[in-house]
Amino acid sequence: MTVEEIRVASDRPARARRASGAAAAPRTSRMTTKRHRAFYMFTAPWLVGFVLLTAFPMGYALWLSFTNFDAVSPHWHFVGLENYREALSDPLTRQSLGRTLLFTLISVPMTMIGGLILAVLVNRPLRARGLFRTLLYLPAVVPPVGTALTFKLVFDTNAGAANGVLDAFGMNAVTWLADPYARYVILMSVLWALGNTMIISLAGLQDIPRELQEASRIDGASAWRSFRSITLPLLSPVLLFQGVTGVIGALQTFMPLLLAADSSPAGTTSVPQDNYMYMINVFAQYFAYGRFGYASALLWILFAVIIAFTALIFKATSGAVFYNVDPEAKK
Amino acid sequence: MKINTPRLALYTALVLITGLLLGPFGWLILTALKAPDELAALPIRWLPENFQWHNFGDAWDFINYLGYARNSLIIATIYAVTVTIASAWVGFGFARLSAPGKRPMFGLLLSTMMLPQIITLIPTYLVFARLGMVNTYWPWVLWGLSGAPFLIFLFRQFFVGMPRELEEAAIVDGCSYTGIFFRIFLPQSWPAIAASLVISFGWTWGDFIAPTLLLSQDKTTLAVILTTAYRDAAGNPLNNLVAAGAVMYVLPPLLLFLVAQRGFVAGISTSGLK
Amino acid sequence: MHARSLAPMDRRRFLGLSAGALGAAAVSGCALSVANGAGRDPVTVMASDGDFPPEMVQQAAEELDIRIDLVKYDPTRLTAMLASGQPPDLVRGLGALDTPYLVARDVAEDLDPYFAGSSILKADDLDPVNDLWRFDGQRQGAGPRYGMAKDFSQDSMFWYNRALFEQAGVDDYPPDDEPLTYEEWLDLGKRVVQQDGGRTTVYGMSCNGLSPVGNLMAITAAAGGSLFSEDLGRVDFSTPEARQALSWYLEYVQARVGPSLIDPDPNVWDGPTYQANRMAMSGNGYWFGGMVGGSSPEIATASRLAPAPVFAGKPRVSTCQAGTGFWMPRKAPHKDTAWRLFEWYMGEGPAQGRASGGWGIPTLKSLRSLMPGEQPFQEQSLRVQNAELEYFSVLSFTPYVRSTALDAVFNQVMPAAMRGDMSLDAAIGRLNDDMNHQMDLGKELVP
Repeated sequence: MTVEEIRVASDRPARARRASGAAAAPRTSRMTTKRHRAFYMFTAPWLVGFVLLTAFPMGYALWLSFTNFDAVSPHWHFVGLENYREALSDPLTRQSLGRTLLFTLISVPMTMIGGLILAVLVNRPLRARGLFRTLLYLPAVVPPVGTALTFKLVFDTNAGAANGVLDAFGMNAVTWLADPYARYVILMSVLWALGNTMIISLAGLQDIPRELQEASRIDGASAWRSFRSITLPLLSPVLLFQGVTGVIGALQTFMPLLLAADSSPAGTTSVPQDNYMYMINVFAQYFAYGRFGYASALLWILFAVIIAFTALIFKATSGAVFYNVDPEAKK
Repeated sequence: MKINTPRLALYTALVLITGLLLGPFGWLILTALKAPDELAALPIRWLPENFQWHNFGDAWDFINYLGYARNSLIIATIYAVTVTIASAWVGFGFARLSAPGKRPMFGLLLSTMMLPQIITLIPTYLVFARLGMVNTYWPWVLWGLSGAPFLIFLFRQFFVGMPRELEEAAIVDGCSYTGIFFRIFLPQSWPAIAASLVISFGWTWGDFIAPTLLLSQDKTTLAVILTTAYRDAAGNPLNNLVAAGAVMYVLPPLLLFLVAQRGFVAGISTSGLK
Repeated sequence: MHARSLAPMDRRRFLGLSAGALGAAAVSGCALSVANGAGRDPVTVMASDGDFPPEMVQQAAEELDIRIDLVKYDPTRLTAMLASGQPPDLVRGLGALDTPYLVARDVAEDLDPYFAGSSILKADDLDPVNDLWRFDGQRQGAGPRYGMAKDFSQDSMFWYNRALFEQAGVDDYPPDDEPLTYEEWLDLGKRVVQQDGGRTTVYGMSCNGLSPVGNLMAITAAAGGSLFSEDLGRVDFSTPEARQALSWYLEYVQARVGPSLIDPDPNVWDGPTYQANRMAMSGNGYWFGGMVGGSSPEIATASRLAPAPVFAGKPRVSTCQAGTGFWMPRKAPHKDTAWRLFEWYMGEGPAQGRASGGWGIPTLKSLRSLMPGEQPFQEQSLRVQNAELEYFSVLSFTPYVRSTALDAVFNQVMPAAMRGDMSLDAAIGRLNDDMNHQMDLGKELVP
């Protein structure tokens, strides 16, 4: 039982097509009403949960974002759009957003390309490729706190392996968890979980009919050319998915705080400056500065940025892919 | 298979990358087996002179490891089970049923998948606090019962692929949709169930922020306690115990993954939004 | 069969058993709401790890019949608990920094009535340091008491390790009776620091106080000035005194002789580093002696306490930056039981235990006699500390912002200045602008 079993998933689209094709049976209106009622019954838990646990808190945060509430003083009041105005001009917020965008622009392509390369490698007929796949994927299973603790130990100034390597080469030890090196530690900790993108790309690769690639190779196309003209386009939905989820994940990076392993206000504001990301700033504004209103405004701004990015990605890749919302509606 | 140069290069590259990715695990385990003075030594001592296996026992006793592991386990299990059932239930609705409003609802579901959880967490905390649910496990039950968009989507994708004949035969037999769901669809969806259980268990086992905000020290999870607890009376971090504790913390998800690999991978690839 | 085996159990035995079971539940700190013997409400205490060790929790259950539900001290949690109207009964706090903030926002209970009725915490027995927990709306040190310090120190003093001086071939130890100037202290730090291959193997000194802004407040006071304006409404780093303090601190950071924002100590605070024989001088007050006493005998024997440094030509001032203690939220659900625990913690067994352990100066004068003096380092530090008391002074913190907000500004602005990428004047300008912005925002939240 290995990652090899990916094929379990890959023959599903064929079945899906068959299923939707058979959807034309006539129905009585009574049955339709029954189906309608059943639909609402089945989706109700999610809808109720969405309203109570997502929409309501979001609304609460929106409402707070128009106040100067500090969670302690009873003398708070409405400040209109002041928090949003301040956020757009606050250098701290702008810098942290800039850093986060830069981090996103570096880390997302890095993990996507890295994962794709690994996927291509382990998709080839190899001895023990199941073992390779499993081992490469393992770090991706480690929970964030586990990753943070591990990287703290590896990059410990005194007793860490990283400085041990530098020592062995006769180089000076480095304070890894401070500027200007801390940013590389974060990037490395992200790269460690490369297995995530690898496994998704691998699933995508295995869905591509082998005959297509073989045909193009017989036609005399180089390996690179066949990869570019056949594999890559067919893989685009998978890559799009990775791009979107990767960007969303990267924009809300919280790892630096875990590396500092200190959720106190001091922990949030004393992370190395290069790692002072947007969400760290949000946490600091909530709990170190005590500005619940302002921090809530920052959350809504991040939310808007994420929506904008997602829309942008979908727009930039429009035509490449989208999935079918309702298999029946198509017919 | 003949070994030629490009093949050799491929193997070398793979072994190198694998070694690099497994390196941190190795260091974690080595650190867990060292004595305190070996951690303080300069230059760095790569290998422990004697394997200090007792570090694992010490890490176990230093904090009430079992107690915190139990808390993590309870929360993760509560959440994994409830969220899996709820997500399958909702996913069935989106896959096999329809009614006015389905399209916007599905759009909403997909967009909440994009919604950073962390954004709602702090406001949600305030809501839970007012309801008196802080320091209880109720939030995880409620989160579970409302399903997770990602898992709902996973189940939806799975159910969409099942042949309609199954359902139609059952309806002719007078079976209700609830019956169809529980008797026909759910029993056939074990790969998705396995994937959902593993994924959601992993989320909760690894979650740091929600338990930090919601649970007091004796009820909190391993993820939270590991980051602060291994210090001696003076506050010295006991890194060998931290490492030992971390090894034991990371092991369950790794084992779970190895055992449930098939279902897990099937689930992940289904979620590739194809 | 079962019924019969139960029958012989008489009522007394049954009660004994159930009491035992309940006691066990209380002792184990089990968070289920199991009522304890006398039906007293459990007291929720938000404290740091060392404040209420498990033995003390058990003692409270036995001696006072009070069950303590411990919540780990976490300002994040506290803020959220206050925001949701469900605060703990007692909360750890830094009297020096927290009192004005809490009082100006109406969240702390006025404890004067409780003190008035207490036979354990009597007004004439309270050390002046407890005035840090008083605030009258204008200044700290006057008005009602809102809390009490559990112990205190004069936090600008420093400890040094004679063995590390010897290693560096330095034999002019800081004198016991005369303070060094800040410049002399830094020079000494440069002489005893040990570096090797990019690592600081032995820090020469540390001067980071208990919080960045508290530290600067103390150094500015030594320079004869104040960070805050008279009405506590503005921060000003551009006064000559504040400027002198800040530029000295920058010099300390740039000399790379001790931990700072740009050279963080992985141990986060001095204790472990000092215990590991890796810090020659540590800027910590008397309380640090409790930790020194818990170190290896070599370190304890080699350790000594020195008076707080001064600036040449300025009067000796030795402040307390913390006054760590406990306060009671106004919305605390079990105030009376909490007060009983408070009394016990501040004036009875636990207080005596702290006093004799050397972890800070007791906050009741009557407990002074318990301070340890057997070992040479204890005898020396007690003598130096007693002489230092004469220079004790209380600094006022602003009521308008929480101290962590000002610390956050400091942490954001200063790294650039520390690395030399920003001039002192530019740093002063930004500190003033950003901190006063936070103060202005805070003023709108204080009536």
